[in-house]
Amino acid sequence: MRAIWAQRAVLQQLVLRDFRSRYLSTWTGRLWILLHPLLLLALYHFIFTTIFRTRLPNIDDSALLPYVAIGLWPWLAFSEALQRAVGAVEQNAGMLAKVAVRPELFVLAPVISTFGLHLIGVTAVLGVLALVSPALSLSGLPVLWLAMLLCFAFTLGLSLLLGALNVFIRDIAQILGQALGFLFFLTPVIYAPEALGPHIVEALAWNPLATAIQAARHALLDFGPWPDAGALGYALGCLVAALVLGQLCFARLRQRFEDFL
Amino acid sequence: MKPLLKAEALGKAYPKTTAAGDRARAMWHLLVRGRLPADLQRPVLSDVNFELYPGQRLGVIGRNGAGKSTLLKLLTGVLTPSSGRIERRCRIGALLELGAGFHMEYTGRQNIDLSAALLGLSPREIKQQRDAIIDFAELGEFIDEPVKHYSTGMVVRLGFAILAVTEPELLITDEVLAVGDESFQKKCIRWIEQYLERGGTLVLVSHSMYHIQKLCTSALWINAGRVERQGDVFDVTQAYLAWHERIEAEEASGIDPTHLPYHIAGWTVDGDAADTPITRELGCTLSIEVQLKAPDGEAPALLVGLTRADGSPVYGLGSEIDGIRGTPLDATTLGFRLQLGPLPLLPGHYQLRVHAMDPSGVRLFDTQHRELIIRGQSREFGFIRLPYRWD
Repeated sequence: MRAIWAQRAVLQQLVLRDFRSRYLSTWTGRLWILLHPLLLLALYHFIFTTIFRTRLPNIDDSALLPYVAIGLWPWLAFSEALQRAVGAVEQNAGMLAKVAVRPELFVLAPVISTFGLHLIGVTAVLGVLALVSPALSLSGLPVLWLAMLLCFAFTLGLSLLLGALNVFIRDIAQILGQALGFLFFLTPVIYAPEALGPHIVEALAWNPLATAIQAARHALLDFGPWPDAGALGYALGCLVAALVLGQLCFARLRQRFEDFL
Repeated sequence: MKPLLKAEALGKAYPKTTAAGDRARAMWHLLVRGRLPADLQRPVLSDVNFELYPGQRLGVIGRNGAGKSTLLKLLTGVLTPSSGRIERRCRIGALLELGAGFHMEYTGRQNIDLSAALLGLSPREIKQQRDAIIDFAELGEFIDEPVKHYSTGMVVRLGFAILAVTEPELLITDEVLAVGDESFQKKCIRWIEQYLERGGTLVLVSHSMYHIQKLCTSALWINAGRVERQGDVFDVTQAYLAWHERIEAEEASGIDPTHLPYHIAGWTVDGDAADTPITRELGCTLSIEVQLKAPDGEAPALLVGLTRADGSPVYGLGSEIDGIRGTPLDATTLGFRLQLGPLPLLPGHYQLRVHAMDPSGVRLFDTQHRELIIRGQSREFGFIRLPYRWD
């Protein structure tokens, strides 16, 4: 940890550069920061309301768009960050072979920049949606931010774990793509578990992302139950386990990264 | 005073991953035991010990594949040692042929920021020094192009500019400076000379003994992953050159000496008949006595020669040409006495050879040789001292 702190200036460079190279290098890039999630939001909203014909009980239909948005951004941040971070050590093999830089930084940088970006994105989008959707109460935003922070820590732990393993077993990045495809449907983004019944909400509690999203929806839309103590404790446990395990595996495997890249 | 760099029993083994599943096995062992099993490792460097104090200049020499690059990577911290340890107490600037560690997608300017941060500079220091680095690198508009568009020489220029301006406490470099164009090379060499004059500490890896002797005070010779010799730069480089020349000569030929009618019965140098190397100071004179056997009673010819350690001739003389017939010692033995010198040979390793030839001096029958080591310090080049005078 101290070694990473000593190289924080490097981390700052990597995050800033990641930020800029992905989104700010071209004028279309600037648009894409918001355009990509907005298009997804429009698409999922269409699926949600028109194809699935979902109706949320006890709440007016103007809440549907913010409902999808609150689920979509944490999911996007999680899946994008994880996918980019897992291949990060491998992609920076050239630098790792030549300069003494902590490989953790290459994992940290995309997680930080992706979450930073989507945190701004979701705040801006909800700010706009609050004008048209009376059900949305922005006083719940801190809960969403906190939920995003928890997702961030969970993602970071998973990224360290899978990123380290991926140096030795390259298939992990491939498998991850498939696994995320499944996980998307096990996370309540384009459907409402509350509308499907309490047993579905309970079943989804094994997924800490679902718990975080549920908490944010409760706080911002006053919709659905606040996650019970068991689910919250479990989600926190997942987060701590991911961080500890990720950090432990990374520290053990790091000494040999150079030899296996 | 504490050393800037200290290596203790330093070693590195690379993993062997030939069979399918070796990577997964290696990972499992690392996760569970924290180290690799012996059958998955191939040692490439072992038991390196040295200390480097401020102002010292260490040359690292050895053949290709001896482990020099691995040692450098261990010193800079790119590689983690698999045995022993290394202590670093300074900001190390490395400029290696392997590349400067740039991010290929970043522009030159962005790489300056990143490299400076990697060297441990604070954002404020980076801001202060950025313009000086850009000036030094002389890259013009390319400074805002991604580094992947640079030529090899331009990458080196940028790397060197960062080093020169940030001034490391320890400079680690190899023959990388041969890459840039001539005017930039001169600029670099001038900077390195000034850096050394200011008392800078250096680790230099080179195949050029000229550069090693010129720039370094001590040397470390690595052979097949082990330290063959370390210490004073002249001792180590001379021993290395002699070894290297001998290896090359051995690889070139492998002829067995055969005993034929005319052969050498015995010979001494300054009264010493042993087979051990002769060690003398620069400018010495050798007193050589040789006994030749001639079964048919005819006087054989004696040839005495000096070669370099690789066998290339330096000087040769023949008794037959000079009309010397030797002194009969008994019915079939002839004795020869020769004073050779003072020898103008520069310090290094040579061979003294004596040959028995047929009486007409045409066919070579027997050859014996001894190693001759000339000691001393000299910054002249080549192997022979010629008289000269500056006017």
